[in-house]
Amino acid sequence: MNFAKAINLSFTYPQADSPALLDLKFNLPKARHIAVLGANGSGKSSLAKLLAALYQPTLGSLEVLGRDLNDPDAADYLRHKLAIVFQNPDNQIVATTVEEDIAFGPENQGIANPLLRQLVDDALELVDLTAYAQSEPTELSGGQKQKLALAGVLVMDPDVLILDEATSMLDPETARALFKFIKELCRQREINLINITHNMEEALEADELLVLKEGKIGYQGSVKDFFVEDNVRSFHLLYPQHLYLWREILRSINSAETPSALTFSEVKEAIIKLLDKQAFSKDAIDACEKYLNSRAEIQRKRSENSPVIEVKDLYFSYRPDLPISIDTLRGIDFDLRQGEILAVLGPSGAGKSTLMLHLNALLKLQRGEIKVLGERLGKQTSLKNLRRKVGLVFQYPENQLFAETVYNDIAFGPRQMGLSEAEVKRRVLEASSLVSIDESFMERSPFELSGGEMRRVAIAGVVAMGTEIIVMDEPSAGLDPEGSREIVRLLKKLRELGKSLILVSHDMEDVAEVADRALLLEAGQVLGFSSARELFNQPELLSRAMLSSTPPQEIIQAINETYSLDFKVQTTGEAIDIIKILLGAQ
Amino acid sequence: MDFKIGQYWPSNSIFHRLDARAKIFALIVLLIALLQLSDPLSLAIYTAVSLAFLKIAKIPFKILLQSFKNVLFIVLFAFFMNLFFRPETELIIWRLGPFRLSREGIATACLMSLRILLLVFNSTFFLSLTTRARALADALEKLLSPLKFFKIPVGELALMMSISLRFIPTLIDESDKIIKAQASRGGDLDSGSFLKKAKAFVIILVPLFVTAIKRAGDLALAMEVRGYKGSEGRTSLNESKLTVQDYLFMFAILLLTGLLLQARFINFKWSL
Repeated sequence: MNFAKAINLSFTYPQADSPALLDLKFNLPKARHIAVLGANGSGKSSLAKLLAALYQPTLGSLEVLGRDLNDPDAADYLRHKLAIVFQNPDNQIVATTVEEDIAFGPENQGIANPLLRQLVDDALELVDLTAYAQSEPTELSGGQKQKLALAGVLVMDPDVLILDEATSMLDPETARALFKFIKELCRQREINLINITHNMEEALEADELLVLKEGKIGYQGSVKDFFVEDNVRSFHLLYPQHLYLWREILRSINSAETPSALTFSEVKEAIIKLLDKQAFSKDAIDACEKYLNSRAEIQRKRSENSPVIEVKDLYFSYRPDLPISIDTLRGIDFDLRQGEILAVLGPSGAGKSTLMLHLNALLKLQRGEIKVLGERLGKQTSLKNLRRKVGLVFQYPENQLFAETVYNDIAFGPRQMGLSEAEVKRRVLEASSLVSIDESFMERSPFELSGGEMRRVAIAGVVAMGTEIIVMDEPSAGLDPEGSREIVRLLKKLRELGKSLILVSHDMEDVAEVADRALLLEAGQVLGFSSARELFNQPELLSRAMLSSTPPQEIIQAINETYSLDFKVQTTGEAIDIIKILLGAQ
Repeated sequence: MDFKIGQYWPSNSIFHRLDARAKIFALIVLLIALLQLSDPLSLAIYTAVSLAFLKIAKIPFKILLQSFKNVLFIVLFAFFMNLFFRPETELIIWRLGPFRLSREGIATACLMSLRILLLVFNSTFFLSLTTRARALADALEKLLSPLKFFKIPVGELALMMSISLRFIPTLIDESDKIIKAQASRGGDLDSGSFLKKAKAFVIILVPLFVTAIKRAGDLALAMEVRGYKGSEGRTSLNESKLTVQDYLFMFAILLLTGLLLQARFINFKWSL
């Protein structure tokens, strides 16, 4: 039997003007693992909710597990067969304790003790939350909350598990671990997995791929065919970094060979094999070194500029009144130089956000010294002046939008500074063009925009204040690949304008594209502070902070190891260039 | 994080293990007794017993003081109103303009403040410090279940309460974040006239409501996925039955307050 079959399926949300899904025809087999890809707004989330029988088709028909969703009894039947885990960990938890939340589903089914207790205990064990049975959900980490949401649906013993971008709000390392965990679980319990995602690495592991574009089916078939054919871009998607690299290399050597390598390790092996055949010269190695040195030089020059922020021996505790308090920050030292991008890296709970709040005096300085543009922060510091020097972009800044129009929201900061309306207007238009928000958006409500657009409007609100220093906390978290790339472009533009930037993130791929220097934090202490190039090529050090080098860096590290070389690449572009030079293709 | 009103204090005492219905019963009995008692000895015993509860429940005294902070204003207000504004008919020992001090005034002021403090203490102790919100919601659902005959959706109301309790900490975090973010954009909440301040809160409240509504939509879907169709036919994981312990506790409370009320009549002459 098929999992799902759609005939002329269209779906429009109640009160929406245009359909989210338009005239879909597909036949999804009951495969182990199906991935559904698509840019933001392509309708993949709507499809997830339809497949989970949460909505009915507006037009046409959709059959799930042999039941027509237009049949009013279908949803009831499917409720016990289908499970879905959504994106936001916080919004799926109903009860006030972990075990009671897991019990919510079976309670609705009318299952009573002792079976109910048994089911809950089994589910707790399955997701390693037994120790937290009595805890409040707010005490859990993001990854644990998603595991709780997972347990809450698995306890109902489904045949099919749908993930609706379930890992997209987690940090990359946690997301990877959770996805691996879910895959293994589904394999053991013979649950069919349908993963709606914009994470290309996850999609690579699927048996079958469905790609949506503007509410329509753009592709259905094997994963390999999709990534081998050059059609990824036309769906507003991006190749995973290692595949992008691989394709560029094959193109540069005019290889007629089809790029059959797909996974990271396949690509790594294929590249080493190519280099083996080539027997590169000493000259090629020199050329590579010269190339990398010139790249490093540009970054080094920026870090020789004068400091705009200096932090010395900073300590902070959220509960200084307790006799045995655990300090969130324990002796942080670093500086930010004019015109550079400093990445602040580290796992959740390392103290990154706490550090960032200090730079705007949103937390009271307890011990240590902070200088902003030469002025030491203290009791006499004017908050108004400080906040004109340092702008903060918080995580998920779109959650702070409030005004009735995009223009007024971006104008809020400048107006609070007491600028003339003409100057406010100039700044709003300048900031919105920087973040690629079209002038035609100005009179629209910010709440009508897409997630990525809202994010950029919120960032423009800080940029418009014209601060010399801008601090951003995870600016690309939760965005689709195209949205993330837009943010990377923005960061580079801001640096060109002479702004000094601090980028707080655990997305190594984005950070590698832009960072000049990097500060690595772990448990409130500095684990490393050096050029980003150096830091990114210290895998042991990174792993202590639950981070890792990017795939292109890892490929070059593998080349280093094989041929006893010492190339330190940072960006994907650099990795491609190095391999091209070694292959004599450039 | 500071202790907030309505917070559970995890511990493994007898009070934590008691059924919430038994605790609600005990609280009602104790509060009725509190309103009846007015002589110093009974009140002293009552206070001592209350403090003993706290000790047995292994809750630090500091937590108790923190819960008083919230009602300090009301207590002081009651104290001074009773102290200085007594009827003319009483024996006045000191007078200044509208302020009149009398023996009755002093006694009533002390009595009223102590009553408010004990009332707050007992309610906090039984309903929040030793009882999880969900257990309380369950207990209320059971106690109110006769109202179902009048078509009042007791189960739904209890679930609504439980969900509100679940999301309070989440929304507090959220508003804290929004306040900080708007402050860094120059949104000033601390200065200016009242009207200006009220206007400033728009920049906090709008985003807070927008996210809360979004959360509500997500949560509704998550509940539907898990087969929620109203409280009809739902079971409960921690289905509590009143145990011997619960009955003994309720009996002990009845006995204690009964004795105290008896003693009040014997010692009536002691009262001021």
